[in-house]
Amino acid sequence: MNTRITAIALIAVAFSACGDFEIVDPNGPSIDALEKAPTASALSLATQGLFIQARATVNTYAGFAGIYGRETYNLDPSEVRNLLSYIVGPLEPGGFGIDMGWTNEYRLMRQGNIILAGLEAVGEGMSEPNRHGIRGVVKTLQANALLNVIRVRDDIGAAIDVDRDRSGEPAPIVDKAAVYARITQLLDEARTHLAAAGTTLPFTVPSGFASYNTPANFIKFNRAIHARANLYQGKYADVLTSIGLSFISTAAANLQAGAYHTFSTTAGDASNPAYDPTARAWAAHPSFLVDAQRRADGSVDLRAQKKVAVISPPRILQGVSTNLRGTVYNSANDPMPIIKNEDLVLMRAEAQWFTGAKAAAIADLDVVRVNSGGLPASTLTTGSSDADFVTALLYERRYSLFWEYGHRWVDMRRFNRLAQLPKAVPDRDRIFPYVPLPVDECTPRNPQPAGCRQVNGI
Amino acid sequence: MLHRHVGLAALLLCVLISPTSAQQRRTITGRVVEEGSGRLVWGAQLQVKGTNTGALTREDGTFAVNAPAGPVTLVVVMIGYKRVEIPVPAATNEVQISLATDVLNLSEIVVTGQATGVQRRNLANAVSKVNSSELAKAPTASLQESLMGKVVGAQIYSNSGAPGGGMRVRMRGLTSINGGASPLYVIDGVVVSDVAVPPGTNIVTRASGSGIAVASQETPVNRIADLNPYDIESVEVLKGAAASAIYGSKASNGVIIITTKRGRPGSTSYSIRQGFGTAQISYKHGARRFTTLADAVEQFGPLAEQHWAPNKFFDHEDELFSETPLRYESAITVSGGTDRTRYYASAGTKHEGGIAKNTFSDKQDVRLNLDQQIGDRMTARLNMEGVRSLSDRGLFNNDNTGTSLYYAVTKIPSFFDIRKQSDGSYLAPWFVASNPMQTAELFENREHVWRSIVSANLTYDFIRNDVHTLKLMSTSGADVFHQKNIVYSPPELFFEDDDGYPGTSGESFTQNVSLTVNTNLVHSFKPASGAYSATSSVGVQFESRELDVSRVVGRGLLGARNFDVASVQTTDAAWEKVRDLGFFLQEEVLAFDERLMLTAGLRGDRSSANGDPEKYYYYPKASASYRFPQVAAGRIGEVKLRAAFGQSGNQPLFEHKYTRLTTGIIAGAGGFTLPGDAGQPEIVPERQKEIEVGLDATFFDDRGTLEVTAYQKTISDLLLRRTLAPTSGFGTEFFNGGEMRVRGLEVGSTIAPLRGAFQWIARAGLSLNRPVITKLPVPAFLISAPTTGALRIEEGVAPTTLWGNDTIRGPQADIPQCTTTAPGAICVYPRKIGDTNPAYVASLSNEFSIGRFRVSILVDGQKGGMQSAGTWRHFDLGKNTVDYDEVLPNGSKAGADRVTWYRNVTSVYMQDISFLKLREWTVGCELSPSLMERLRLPGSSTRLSFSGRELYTWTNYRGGDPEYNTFSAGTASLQVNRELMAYPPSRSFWFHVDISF
Repeated sequence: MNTRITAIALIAVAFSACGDFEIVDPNGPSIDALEKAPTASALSLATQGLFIQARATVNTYAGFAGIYGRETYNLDPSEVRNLLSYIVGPLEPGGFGIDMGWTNEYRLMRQGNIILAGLEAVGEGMSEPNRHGIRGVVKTLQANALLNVIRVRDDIGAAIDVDRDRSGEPAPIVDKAAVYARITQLLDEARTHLAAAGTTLPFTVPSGFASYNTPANFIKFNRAIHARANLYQGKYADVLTSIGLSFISTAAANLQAGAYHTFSTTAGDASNPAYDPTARAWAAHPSFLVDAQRRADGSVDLRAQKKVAVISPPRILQGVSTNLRGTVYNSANDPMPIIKNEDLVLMRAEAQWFTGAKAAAIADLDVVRVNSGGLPASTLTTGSSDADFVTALLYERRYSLFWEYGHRWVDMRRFNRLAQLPKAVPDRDRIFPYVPLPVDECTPRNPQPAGCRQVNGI
Repeated sequence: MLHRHVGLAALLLCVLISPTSAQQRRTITGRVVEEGSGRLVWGAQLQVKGTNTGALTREDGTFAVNAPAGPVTLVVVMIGYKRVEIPVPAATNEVQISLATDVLNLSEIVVTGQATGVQRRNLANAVSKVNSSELAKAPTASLQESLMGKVVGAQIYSNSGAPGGGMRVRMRGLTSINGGASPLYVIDGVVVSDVAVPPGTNIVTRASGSGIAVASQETPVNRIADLNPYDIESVEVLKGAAASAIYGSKASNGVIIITTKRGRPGSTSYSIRQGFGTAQISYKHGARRFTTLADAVEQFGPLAEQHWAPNKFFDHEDELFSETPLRYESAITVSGGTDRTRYYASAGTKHEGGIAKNTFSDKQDVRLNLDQQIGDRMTARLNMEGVRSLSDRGLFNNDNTGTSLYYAVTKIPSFFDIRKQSDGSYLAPWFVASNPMQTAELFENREHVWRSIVSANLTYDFIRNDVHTLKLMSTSGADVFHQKNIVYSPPELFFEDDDGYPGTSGESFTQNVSLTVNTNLVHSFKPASGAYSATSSVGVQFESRELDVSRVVGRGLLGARNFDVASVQTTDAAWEKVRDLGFFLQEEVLAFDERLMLTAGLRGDRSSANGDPEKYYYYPKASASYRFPQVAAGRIGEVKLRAAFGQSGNQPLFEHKYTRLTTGIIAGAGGFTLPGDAGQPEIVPERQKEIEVGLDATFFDDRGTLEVTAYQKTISDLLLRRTLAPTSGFGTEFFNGGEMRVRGLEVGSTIAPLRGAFQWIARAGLSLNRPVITKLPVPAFLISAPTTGALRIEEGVAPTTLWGNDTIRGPQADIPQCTTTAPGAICVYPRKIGDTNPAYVASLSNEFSIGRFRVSILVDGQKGGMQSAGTWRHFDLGKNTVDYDEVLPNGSKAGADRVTWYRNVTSVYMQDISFLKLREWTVGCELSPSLMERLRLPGSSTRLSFSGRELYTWTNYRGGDPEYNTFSAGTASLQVNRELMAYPPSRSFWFHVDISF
């Protein structure tokens, strides 16, 4: 009997050591810190995280929108779909790279919505002005994300009512006008929040936003985005109003000032993914140097000199070749512009021209042309045709905003000039006006929205 | 009487009132020999039928068994021999027994519970058992590879040809959609890890994102490969829930129970094994010959002029992958012991050179298994295995940096010289980032594993009499391994300056600790009447698994190779911990002259991986089998009908219940971002219910067997990782939902038509299964993208249905994508293009022995299944395919035509993989004693053998080995098979000498 008791006792001892079955995930903070039991510090960290989310796919965005606008090429021989899918197509929902300017942007919007809900729940855990500060920043960044969505999708529209149960019906796809209306609404709400946010923002503003690290200054960034959204809608009067409240300056030294995505090679940080020193994958379109205007001394536009370099031998892939690599980003620590003063000046030029202030428009154009390009002043006059003005404007925008956010593609589309973009293999290549919805957006919808149709390009 | 044996309380009650018989005793002595040869049989088990008394035969075949007075029947059982029953009249006290060899394995004992087993002839499930002789015919990289073609109902595939292994195993088809797919491995009672930890080459290849390591991209070794197959006595495979229910919530993917060899009492025996071998590449893609300079310049630019010459042709695959590497293995085992102490010890070393330069896998292992009888009632067993494994698997698989060896080969034309030049340098290609010869020489991808698997087992006989036995069996064990991975890419490699930080040095440290504590009480009861026997068991099992991986990488090395002398450093750490507690009850009854077998059992499990770690999930099972002996004399022998039902679970993976914010740093400050995967705090295990019915029969005087099994598995609470609309802000979410049904059929047959001097044994197996999603609470969703092949998860449809893109001329009213296509224009749309599930899987092995010679051949294959050939695609994209210039009827070049269409027509590279493989053959002979004497060889037997594996594949699949899936590691059960830049396949050849004395 004794041995039996010993045996049972031994078993009991062995299994009493089984320990705790409630294992806390050691590999990352739980989303509960924002949703179930939000804390002020978690909400601040999540707000900082929005800036991380915002830069997460900027290389894909700038690079591939760059290919659509024939600013860049991806000649990575490891994955030729990085080239062919963007210059040959057709673009179809299940195809390669279709989630550009979509998935990451909506993730940012969801995170923003979680923060906004968390701010309600945290209540007095954070002061009212601070909560307004975060709301203002969140909504501004959400609006910018939505603007990046519609820049890619254009006529097919996008989803706006995304603050809903993730497992339920997906948010409906609404038209372009409704998307712009939501962008404007978010920016205006953000501005109101920021105006009530006191003098400091309750989180660490990244260095790329150093000039906008107080609520009052953040409004300047907010208005710059507001101006861009209005510009795309052709609401030129509103552009001028917003620009007036932004950080615009015509001083030569200030042209590159603005809001930037920050990168760093510090452990844990992200390095600039557009930095490709040997142009193994990312190269510049050869036309960038060919089309550059000459300065008085016969050398090319300073911006062309600065932003590309000749490589030898030329890169060749699938009938495409180029002898240029980009030098916009010269180290893994280089920041990438979101919106900068040079852009604001050109936006103002455009808005002024089309609201009748043609001389002022030419003057603004020349600020950029002379200072950034080192070029002689423009030959435009107040009597020049709109078409000539647009040609001159698009030239300046192309060289000033090269490899930044796919501006050339968006600008050429705005002025119906996509057909002017060059094709490497004319009977094979296509120019695409917009990108269809990703397949995972189409699969759960019945009937499928028009954005699920393939885009054959021109 | 039966009801008294259910439950522990009743069981203990039995113990207290256990009757003792007071009959008169006598001793029966005798000798057991092998039929025909007259060889003495050592270790045979004798039992007086209807009692618990028995004995083992000694080294000289003799035995002495204590039996009651009066006529008795002796039952003699020995592995490898047919069971016999010998009536011994009251007056006879000495018997000679001869045993016939059991080529059909009808007498082998097969597990039914954690501590119980039953003879195959009574078994109610189709359990496959593979014994050591079948297992170790030709050396393989891993145990899983040794099982290929030998387990009916198992699909076992290699992920690549790299030395060291890397396999995927599926039992009875699909068991889950997004849950874990790996079977549970149990060695001598201890659950061991089969985790696959990637080496960390992603930091160089950037195959998926910029992380240090990505399991699904690196075809890592799954660690069961560490086991030494030569130490294994048998492998039993419990395929579905009906058999595996007793392993509860970790058993849905099947359970592989491994028993290692043990010593037997007698004088010490030694065996020495020495083998030498080599391997050669078995599939080459070939390369295009650029016949004109214009062709070369078109693809590679004007610089091609400096390299191209008519008829200049280098075979890069030969240069890189045609090592004929030396392989060798040496092993020694020593075993023996006394009645009270027995030992089995082995030590071995193996070197497996790879066909790619500088790749290899080395293994050393030692094992000691000890059995000690303590007093009269207690037996202690100790099992210890220590393994060291060191390998270099080169740089292969998907990449986005032009660095993977095969990747570079697909892009480098045959006129470009990649070899080392006379001055020791390499030519740098200008059209791809790397020169693969340089990479092969300088790149290091070292994996170093130290592993020990230790278990202790204690058996205590509380009661041991003719009517009752009560045994306590307790096993505790640990499986601990440390893995260190070094990825070193020196700065001089051509691709290293591409990111601006020349030189990459990564180190990863992994520690795995798995602990199992398992205690069982087994009570068996045989009433004096002998009408039935009952075995009750009750047990409890605790398990804890902890996997800790930390990684550091330095880029931009400043003059030395350590990661801390680098300009940029990156770290990564992941830690997983799971604790499980389970208990089980089981009752087995054998009745009607051991013709009827009934089993019922219940397992309860809780686990920290479940949403509610406190909650127990219960898995019942029940089974019955009935034997009809001698159905039609001479033609049909015994026929057994069997039916079994069981449930088992598939535990959620560690991360399923957590929604983990991603952390990052921006400009020195931390921040949270949303993850792509949303977890499910309420996650529960998947539940598999399986009904299995079968018929087993023997024919023609035990010259043939047939085993037919039909099963239906219903898997509910599926662990799904649903793809969400990206506007939700999440990429995927885990949830339990839906139901899948898998119906299948397994047929196995063994025939031994010839016996005696010329013996022939043939084994054939065929299995098929058909999965279908019967319920899905969410809209249909895709796994992967149609352009490369996607699986559509949809109610009423097989989840293995493959969707791909195709083209059609528009407009098409019934295809949503094509309703507005311009008339005659080409529209791309997704459609069903095949099924990744094979129609059937089959195998055939033949073994002939003539005198001292023995030949065995194993072929296996499958009909159907789909795989995408990525390496071939890249040869086309590099305009480098062997048939690139073939002119098609439409006038275009074959390669160019494929490149034009492949993004829109998935089936260009997604192909049927039906194949038949000559998997394994051996030719061996045993030297005659006179020859051994003349050659002055030591020992009592010497065997010479030639063997080979993967000798030939018959298939229409183009692009390499049809089994390979370069993206298979990771967690998802259901995947689209895609090969991309895999380590090439090889055939291997071996010569072995086995000496025992």
